Amino acid sequence: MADVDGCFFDVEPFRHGSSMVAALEISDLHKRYGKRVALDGVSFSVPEGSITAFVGANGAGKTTTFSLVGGFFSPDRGTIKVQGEELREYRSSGGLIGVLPQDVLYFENRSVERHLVMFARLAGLPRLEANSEAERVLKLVQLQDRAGELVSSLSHGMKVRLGVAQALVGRPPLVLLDEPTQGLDPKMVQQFRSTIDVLRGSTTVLVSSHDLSQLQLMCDHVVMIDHGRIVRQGALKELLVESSRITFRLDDGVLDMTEIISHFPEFSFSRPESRLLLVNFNPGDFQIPEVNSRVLFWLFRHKVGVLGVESVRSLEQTYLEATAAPVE
Amino acid sequence: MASSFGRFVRHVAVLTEEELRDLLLRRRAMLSLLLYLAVIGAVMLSLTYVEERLRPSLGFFNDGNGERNRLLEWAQLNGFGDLARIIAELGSWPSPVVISQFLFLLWFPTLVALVSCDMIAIDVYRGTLRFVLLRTTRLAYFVSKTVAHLILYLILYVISIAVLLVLSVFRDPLFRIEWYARPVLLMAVAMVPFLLFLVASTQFVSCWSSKPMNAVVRLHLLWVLFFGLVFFIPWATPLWPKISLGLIAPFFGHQWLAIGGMLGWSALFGGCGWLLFRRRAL
Repeated sequence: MADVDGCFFDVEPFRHGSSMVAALEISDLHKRYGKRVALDGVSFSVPEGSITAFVGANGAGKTTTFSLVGGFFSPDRGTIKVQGEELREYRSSGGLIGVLPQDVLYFENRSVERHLVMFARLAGLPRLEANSEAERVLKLVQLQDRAGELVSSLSHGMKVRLGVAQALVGRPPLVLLDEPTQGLDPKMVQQFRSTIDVLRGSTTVLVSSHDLSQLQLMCDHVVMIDHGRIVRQGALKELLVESSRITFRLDDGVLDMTEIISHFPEFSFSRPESRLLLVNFNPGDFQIPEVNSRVLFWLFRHKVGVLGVESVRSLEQTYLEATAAPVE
Repeated sequence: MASSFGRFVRHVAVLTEEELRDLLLRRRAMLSLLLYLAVIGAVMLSLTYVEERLRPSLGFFNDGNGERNRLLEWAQLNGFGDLARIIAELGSWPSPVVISQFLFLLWFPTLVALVSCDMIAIDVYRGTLRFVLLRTTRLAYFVSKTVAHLILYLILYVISIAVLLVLSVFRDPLFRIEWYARPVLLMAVAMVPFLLFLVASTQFVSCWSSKPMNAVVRLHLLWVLFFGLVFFIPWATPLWPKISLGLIAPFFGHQWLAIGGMLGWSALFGGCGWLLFRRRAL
């Protein structure tokens, strides 16, 4: 067993810093449950060291994807590569993947620490080092004072944190977290975000949740899935600005649309509501500040009151737009 | 290859240790064990008591007694010499050892059914199997279950033999360790594969069930069918009488058939269990 950069592996250390290799690369993944198609040619990659959000509605295929990467069952077709290696080879050579399944169930009669020590030993650590590793991850999820307690005595939120801890034991280079914030109170969600922040850059995390505002705060990449197909993927910043739309919230809604359209033929305008003015532009020709200042100036000159301006969409907006159109 | 085998062995060791800890802390297992030891103790005490009273009348079973040789000659002439030889051999053994072997053969299946029938079904039912398989292989998990449960019953068997010997030291005035050692060792040679057979057949049923209670019912059905087949359709299992004879009389070569037969049945049940488990959805 080697100790590389403080990470314990019994075969080879993971390849941090190699930006050429995606931490997770999924190609043309298909999975059916009887007649129901769960995944229909899913392909996406997760950059190494990124915190990637995996977004989709219930039944979109998130948990199936996680289960396939976790090795709970096999795909009907397609390949999964972790650190550039086929999943089977990666796992058979001792490669670790930390997974927090959606409905994780524990051995209720075992202590918190015993769970983690077992996982650490399965990751290849000798008993003493496994104890230290358990302590480390318990501190990370702030459960250190519960180490000796039985799992059955933990609250739901603590059990979720224990699940996150077990996913992090042994420092796996890839961690999959399926709905980790489900049932957590706002304070715990904030704690969870700080835990993920600690991992940023050193561990690749793929996290799914329905709380898109939280995902927007913690993630730097996004993969969107709908009806078993990937509809959008990329860096969060690019995805959110990609639409190149600015929303102006107007004071009283009185605006001569013909005049503004004729004044700015290079932009397109729409008004989903009387108090909202949406300005769409080509990001190759214009940048947000320029469009913003030009339209604002025109609005002020025409004495149109402006209550607010949103130049970046939320992840939720992007997701709703991406999934609104029928999948080809 | 060597590294993946080493990892497999390490995983089996870790999971076996965890399973054994759980088993030894399980109330059901502890109650069964205590009950088991109480029964063994009571039987030993009553046996040695009865034997003290009856020994003079059973004297012809002892070595060097002319009655024993005359009985064997008579049985040989009348066509059931092998049976007489077996009875004579068993008769020359300390009766607590012989009777306890019968007791083990009846009691261990009950104990195994009580403690182990849900060995895999419970993890599937609770969802903890998925949790364990995050970091290990199905094969390592499957093998660790077999090993842990076999070790548990071997421990119980050793404890039972120890109780038997300790009680015999105090209760049997003719106790000599060399007189007990050979029969105990011969019985143990046959018992170990028998325990493996029990664990393998129980594991097969447990792999086939997704609820613990189903496993209990199916295990009993399996054994009823199995032993029904043996007793009522003997031509379907021509070797079984010889295999089972070796469990009761593990000498005169019968022990090898018992060992081979039990290992064969264990492999069959273990293999079928593995085939079921390998493909089962989580």
